[in-house]
Amino acid sequence: MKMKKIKMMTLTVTLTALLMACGSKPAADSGAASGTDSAAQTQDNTQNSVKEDKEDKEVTLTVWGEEGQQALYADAFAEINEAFEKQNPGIKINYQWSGSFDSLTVAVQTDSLPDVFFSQGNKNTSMSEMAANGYLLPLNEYITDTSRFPEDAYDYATVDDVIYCSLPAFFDYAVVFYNVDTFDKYELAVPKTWDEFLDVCKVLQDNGELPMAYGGNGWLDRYWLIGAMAPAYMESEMVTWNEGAEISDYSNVRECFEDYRAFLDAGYAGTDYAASDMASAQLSFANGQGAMIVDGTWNKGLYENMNVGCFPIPGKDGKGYSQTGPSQSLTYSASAKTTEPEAVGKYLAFLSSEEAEQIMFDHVPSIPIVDGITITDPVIAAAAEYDVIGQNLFGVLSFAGNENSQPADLFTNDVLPKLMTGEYTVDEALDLFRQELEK
Amino acid sequence: MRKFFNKNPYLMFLLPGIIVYSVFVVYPILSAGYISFFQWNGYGPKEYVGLQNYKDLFTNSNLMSQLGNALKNCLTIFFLSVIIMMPIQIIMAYTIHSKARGSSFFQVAVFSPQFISTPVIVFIFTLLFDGSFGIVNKVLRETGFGNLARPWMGIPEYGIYVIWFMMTWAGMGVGMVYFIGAMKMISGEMIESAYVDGAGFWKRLWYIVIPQIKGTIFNLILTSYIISMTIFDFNYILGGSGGGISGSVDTLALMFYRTAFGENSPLGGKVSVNAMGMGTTIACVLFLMVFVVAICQIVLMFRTKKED
Amino acid sequence: MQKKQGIMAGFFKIFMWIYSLATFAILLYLVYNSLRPRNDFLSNTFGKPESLGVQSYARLITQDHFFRYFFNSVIILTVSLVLLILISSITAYGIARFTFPLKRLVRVFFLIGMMFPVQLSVVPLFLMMNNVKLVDNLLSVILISSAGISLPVFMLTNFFEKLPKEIYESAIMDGAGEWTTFFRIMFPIASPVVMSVCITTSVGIWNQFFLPLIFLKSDSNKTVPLLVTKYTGNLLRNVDMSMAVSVLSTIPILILFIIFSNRIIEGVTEGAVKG
Repeated sequence: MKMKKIKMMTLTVTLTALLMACGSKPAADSGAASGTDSAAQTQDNTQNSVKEDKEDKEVTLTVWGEEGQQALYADAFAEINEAFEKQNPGIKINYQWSGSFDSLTVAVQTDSLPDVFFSQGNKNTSMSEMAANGYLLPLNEYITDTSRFPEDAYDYATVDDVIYCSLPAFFDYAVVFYNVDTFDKYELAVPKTWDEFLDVCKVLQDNGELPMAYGGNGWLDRYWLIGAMAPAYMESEMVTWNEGAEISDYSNVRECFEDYRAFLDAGYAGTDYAASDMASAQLSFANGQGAMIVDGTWNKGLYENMNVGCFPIPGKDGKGYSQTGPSQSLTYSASAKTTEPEAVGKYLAFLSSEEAEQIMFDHVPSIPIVDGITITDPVIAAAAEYDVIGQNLFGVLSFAGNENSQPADLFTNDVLPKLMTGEYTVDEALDLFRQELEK
Repeated sequence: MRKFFNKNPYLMFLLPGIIVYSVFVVYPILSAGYISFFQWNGYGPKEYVGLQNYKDLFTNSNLMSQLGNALKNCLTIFFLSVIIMMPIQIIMAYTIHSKARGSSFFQVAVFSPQFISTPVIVFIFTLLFDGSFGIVNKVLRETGFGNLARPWMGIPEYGIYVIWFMMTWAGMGVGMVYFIGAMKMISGEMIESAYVDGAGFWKRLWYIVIPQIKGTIFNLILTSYIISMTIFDFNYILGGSGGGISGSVDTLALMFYRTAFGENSPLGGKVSVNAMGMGTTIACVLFLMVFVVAICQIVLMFRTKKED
Repeated sequence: MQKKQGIMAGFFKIFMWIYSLATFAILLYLVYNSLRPRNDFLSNTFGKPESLGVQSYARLITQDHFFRYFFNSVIILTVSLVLLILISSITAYGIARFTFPLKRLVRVFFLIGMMFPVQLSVVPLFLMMNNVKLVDNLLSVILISSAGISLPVFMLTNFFEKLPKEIYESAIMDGAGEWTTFFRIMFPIASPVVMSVCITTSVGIWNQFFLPLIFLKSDSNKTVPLLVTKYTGNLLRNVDMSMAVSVLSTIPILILFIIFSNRIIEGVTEGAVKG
């Protein structure tokens, strides 16, 4: 009896396996994942389109969106792709949410990059590495109008003046969200200087409220506060680091560290921050237990149903500081080995166009850095009221490193957490930090 | 052909496994391990450096301290699992095996956390144990035991214990199921005679059941060792690729991942010069550490078997 | 003395009840949270919910085509499991039953698979699959999953070794060939352990995330864990969907487990030991 069962099973297994190998093949041929397949099929297409000017055969582009952001951008991209296909009959977009750092690494190492894939631009050294090794398609001839974009956006997308990804039209940064009801209760106004900010905290604390919900338990979670403070204190230092040079005077850095510690020591973040991670800080804030929270504008959606406002961290000089952080929602690169450079070029140009940007904004509002986008969301409008776009501390430290030193790692894993818990005094932290940077 | 197989019947049984396994498991490992002899950042050209990566690893104090720390964490998990989790699993298995009332419920309940995906488990634990927000502390405060409330999840030195706790809650069922299966294989006669002799639960368990499942216990100890050394998911979620405050939850697999693939995040990232080369080296060293100890354990197992 | 044992046994029973009930309560809490609208959970985390509803589940099934992923997961699980159990059983039996040169080496050989991080072996595997055009095909994941025989072989070898030799010898004397002996007699006897292996490997295959991420690209081929990570990647922002999808992905495997484990508790005994 068992024997029959096993024979039956083996038979079913083999049948299913065969069915699948045959069944999925046509699907694989019509332009799914990797190079060789679509290359074989579109070879005919490219030969034809070379002979004639217009493409009369249908071209399919495989695009990898970032898997981790699928839930956020799915609707936006559905609409963007639809609009593109309407304007470009003959080009079909096969958009897959299967990009991730891991799958991109595998694709690079196995020479099977898709036509288009998401990119972090120059926030991440991988784009320049890929460009340097010939994996990316230069886009200068396709994205021609870059005047709409500020210099930051241009820098994000280019290596040595060659454009390698579609340009970002938005940026997000870490703001201070505040509970409007709580502020109204104590008749507090939005602080415009760092001292005013501390005063607000004091009032809240005296009245028994938790001024700031702070998650100190994750490396990214605890970074936001000091990342937001950094431009207000050490902007010029960061610019120097970004260029790979060293600074001589660390007094601004010291002041930043000191104020950070002072803030925590005064108890404005409560007593348990070392134990809470961002999720619990966010939940606290959403539940009304913290009056403020430093969070990114990309997380605005979390607080949608609350009465919140936001303001950029104010510096001692009364200016509101944001940190540069171009949004990677629309930045995509193309593989140098794509068989459809024309189509790819058109798609990436479309992503850099006002139309795509407006669609993205309608679905996922963020702060635009180009003109022409109508801002309808009041929170974003408030966040857009910054005075200075500062540097992004983490990005800068990543670039300041070299073969022998990893200041970004040291900062996030050693200096900052120990400074936060008080294990290092400001001096110790500063010394370690300085040593690493001077390597 | 038939004759050949009939002469060496074991080949018939072993060949399919060997073929499949070699193609899909061994070959990739060898091919990837080969990279440890190169200096490579994953994008550019590879540069052959022989054993230089290994030399670099063992002479670089920063890397070595990371390695040591990660190793210490892995071993902590291993010892805790064997000393605490395994006895509980055995006792649970026996309770279920002897068909105590509620056994079906126990079995399902104990095993069910295994099905939940890791981020959700971490989230649940955050909801429960968070210092300011968690339910446990809330209940403690409401019932007047507020001074017992602690920031359970946050103290860096305890990070590894939190991970172990989550792992154990999720993985309790696995070992237990194996033990149950093993107990089923004990001949019914032995157990019956024990009942007749009037031995109680404890005596039965200790004198009869455990010796019979010695093999399984050894197997699970070895498996536990391998799992502890290669654990990745929980640490990655709790500590990021950096492994938490001063590497409190860093493990060997996490260190490998961090070196090979760089620290990537929404903020940006960096690929180090010898990412893949050094990363693979670390993976190979990890492999050797596991392998050598595994061999020792197996040899030990065979020796005690011979004594039986 | 008797009384002491009674107390110990009773103590453990109580412990088990507490543990099981606590776990069960946590799971119920998970289900409960999945029924809450997102904003309610966020702003009123521990309070009384304003409404409970199955809207998250409805969205999962209709908009996210949950059953498409489910179907893929089921195919991968069943085919891989059958292959895996077959291969690992015969391999384990081969090692256990026979003496041959390099036996110990072979045992250790099969352990190697567990000791390497999977992210490392993925690149050569991807190249392989790419060359035979199996990327974005369920078969690639199936083949690689079926090769994960290290742990099953390890556990099963031990059990096959413990099976009484007399049965084996009498079967051979009765003229049965090696295969028949294996399938008709030895394999059925080992079924409790095989069931255990089935259960644990099923969970592993069902929940595996990395292989489908790398090898399955188009939406029609993806598996349930990928749907789960779609939401748990940004857990708090998608908290309602995360909870719902976790519950939904757990239910089928839980049912499977109940079926399997009942068979273990009652004891699958075709070809009893005594017979």
